[in-house]
Amino acid sequence: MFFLEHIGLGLQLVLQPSVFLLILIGTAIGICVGTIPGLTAMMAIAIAIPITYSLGPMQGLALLISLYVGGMTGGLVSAVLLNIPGTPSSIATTFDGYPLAARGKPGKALGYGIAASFLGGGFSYFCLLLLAPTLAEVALSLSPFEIFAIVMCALVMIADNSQSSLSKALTAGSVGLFVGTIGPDPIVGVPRFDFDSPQLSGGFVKVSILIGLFAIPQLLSDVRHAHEAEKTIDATYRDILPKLRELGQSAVNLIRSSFIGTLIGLVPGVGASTAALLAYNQAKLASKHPEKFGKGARDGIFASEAANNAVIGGAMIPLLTLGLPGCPAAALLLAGLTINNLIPGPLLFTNSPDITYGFILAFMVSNVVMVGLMIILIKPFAMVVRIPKYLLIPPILAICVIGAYVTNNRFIDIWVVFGFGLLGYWMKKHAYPLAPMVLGVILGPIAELHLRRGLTASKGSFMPLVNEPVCLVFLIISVIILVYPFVREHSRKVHLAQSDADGSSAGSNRGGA
Amino acid sequence: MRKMAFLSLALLALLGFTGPAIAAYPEKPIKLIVPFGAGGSSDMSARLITKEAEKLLGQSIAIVNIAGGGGGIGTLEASKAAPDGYTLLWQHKSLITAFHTGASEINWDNLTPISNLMLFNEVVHVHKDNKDIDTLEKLIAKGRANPETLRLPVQIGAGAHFSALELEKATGVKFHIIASGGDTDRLNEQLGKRADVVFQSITPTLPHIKAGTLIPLGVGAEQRDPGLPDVPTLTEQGYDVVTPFNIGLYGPAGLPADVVEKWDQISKKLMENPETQKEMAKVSLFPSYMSTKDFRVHLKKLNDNLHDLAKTGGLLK
Repeated sequence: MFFLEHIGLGLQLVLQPSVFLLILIGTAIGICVGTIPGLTAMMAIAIAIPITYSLGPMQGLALLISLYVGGMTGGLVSAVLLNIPGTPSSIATTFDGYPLAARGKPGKALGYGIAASFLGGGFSYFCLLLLAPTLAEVALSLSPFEIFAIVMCALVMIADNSQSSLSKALTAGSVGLFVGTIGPDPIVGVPRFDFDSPQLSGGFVKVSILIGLFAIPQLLSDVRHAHEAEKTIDATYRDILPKLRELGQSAVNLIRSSFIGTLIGLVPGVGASTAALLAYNQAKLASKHPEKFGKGARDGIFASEAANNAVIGGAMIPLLTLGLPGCPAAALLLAGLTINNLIPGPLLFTNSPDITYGFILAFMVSNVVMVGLMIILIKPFAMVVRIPKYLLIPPILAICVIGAYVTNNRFIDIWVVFGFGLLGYWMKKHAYPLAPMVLGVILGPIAELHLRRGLTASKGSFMPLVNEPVCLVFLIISVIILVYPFVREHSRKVHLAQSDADGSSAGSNRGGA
Repeated sequence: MRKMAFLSLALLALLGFTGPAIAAYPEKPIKLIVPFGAGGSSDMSARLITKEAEKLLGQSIAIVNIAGGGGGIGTLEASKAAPDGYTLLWQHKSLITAFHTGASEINWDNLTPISNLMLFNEVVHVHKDNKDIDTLEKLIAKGRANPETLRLPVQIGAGAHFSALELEKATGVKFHIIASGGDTDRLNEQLGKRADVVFQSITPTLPHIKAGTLIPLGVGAEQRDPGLPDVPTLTEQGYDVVTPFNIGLYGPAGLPADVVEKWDQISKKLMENPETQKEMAKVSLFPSYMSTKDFRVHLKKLNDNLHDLAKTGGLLK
């Protein structure tokens, strides 16, 4: 009874007109910020925190929450339409979202992304509402070695050769891993591979590399078709909204991806990009048609977007129950809560139950608002592909450069964008895939950090990797993912003859179970 | 169009004539570099005072987060800025620790120290289930009997690592130092029972101390922390471990004396403001104003102490 009573009171708080209005505004701004490469939900929240001083507690928190939800979802728009992930969490969305949009179905691709975001987010908020204490225990129980093993499952994706040869994928991945090591050593903090340049001693800002590798090569190749634009797009509501049949066919994938996202959200310092890649990987592994992944598969979009939104609810669990923020956005929400005298931790739910449940419900309301706003915005967003490229490229380039700069406020980051942009363009021309390199840059340091933390605890022994059951399970999965491309390479030739006839949409992809 | 062009030209000319030498400082917004990410404790501490400082200054202050290299990158950027008072730095102990470990190339004497404003303290805590070390005596006895066994998580080379070294020096216990990262990560290891004893900033531990999950054994300060008035200091218990994180204001080397003086006065006024004090107390920050002169004496002493600790701990570059 206690529980339902407080949910009722929390709901009253959230549905006050002023709170609802702020959720509407926050979600809308969040979506726009997420859409712009380089600008993340975290920045929007950081800017909004001083504003919340003058709002009421529920109003202020609702604004921060809705910025977070909108920002996490907005990333899919540029991933799908431009092949440039709006936020790092949408990297895996580009793999299938852009190919599908490029086949003249941007509305459908966005629709899949929105549906998955909504379901993934919703799943995680219910976990937050109903299972928070239990899941917090799970989060606490994970050792650094176990986190390393989980991250490895996503990192082995650098061996994915669906877009080119295995050797080129591995080369790109290795370069990425090396670039990720430039900067301060993750354990002792001393610069390494910095070529004695103080400018490099802090390492590269990951977002700059991401924008460089994804945006610049894409824009440079777009220049070659500067006067072209799509003639028709599918943006009627019938095209956009996924059919119940499609959701039913992908139900297992959606649930699995949401679960992966929630789980990864619990783990401190791993993040939404890992979750999305991990879910994508699992979806591909489980699919009956893995060859369709990377070519516009519905399940690829579903996996990535369900997982990255599910991270939000997952990340809120250790934040609210233990006061442990697992990511920068959560750290900012912690600041937002503290300002309002709400101290997250074991006593939060007993001391201020109403506003705590209000906080959780605000995520759910924002999730619903997000779907509404995105459905309205899809048509104008999708129109982007009808704009001739010569009008579209300059502003996008400008936005990318600004995004790279504001991340850490240093001019050198803009040169990093162009440097990696040219490298990326060269790689693209010579059929080196870019995704493995980005994975190396983003996931390599996370894997190294946790492995080395674990090693300091075990006094240098690697034995926990095989002694701890969770480690062993995840490492075995990693090996399977790693070996899988070799097996597929072998069987690809067999499939090749058949797949030529298959030009239909991703809707025919029945994989996912 | 032509009218606009004329107007902007006139405006430009006007700006040119008034020049920086004539007008009183500050005549344009000030950039305050926080060398850590947005949302962290350093960032929050800076944001707490900007609103009030803007009123006293009559100019706006833009907080610019330049993270990386344990604070070294933002510090480097600040040191390279023109010493005109329009770029300042918000830093604490890590300025000096990062220099000695080789993570950063800038030390306190490569900058112009202006004043110290506030501090936060650190607490030694153990998990309530760790019954055989739930008092300071038990912890020290067990630690001395079993060197390099009790797990103490730190961020290698960062301020809390130096605090741990100070704890080792004063108690004669050799801990098993493990690398776990920042405050959140260390708390995570303690709550997940992968650590035995943690010496970290008080703020994130408060809810767990109040809930009884974590047992505080002592605070590394000269006086009891206002947020934990019932917890004795380590000094009170006979161990000379004083490890406050003093947060202060710096400028690039060669900052004009009038700018230094202006900010010194503002710092003093800020820390005397009861409203600001109230906001700070919410996140366990307390005023510890030091004038320019006192601040420099303090830094010199701190620098010598941290240098020696780095040497004994094998952290020295």
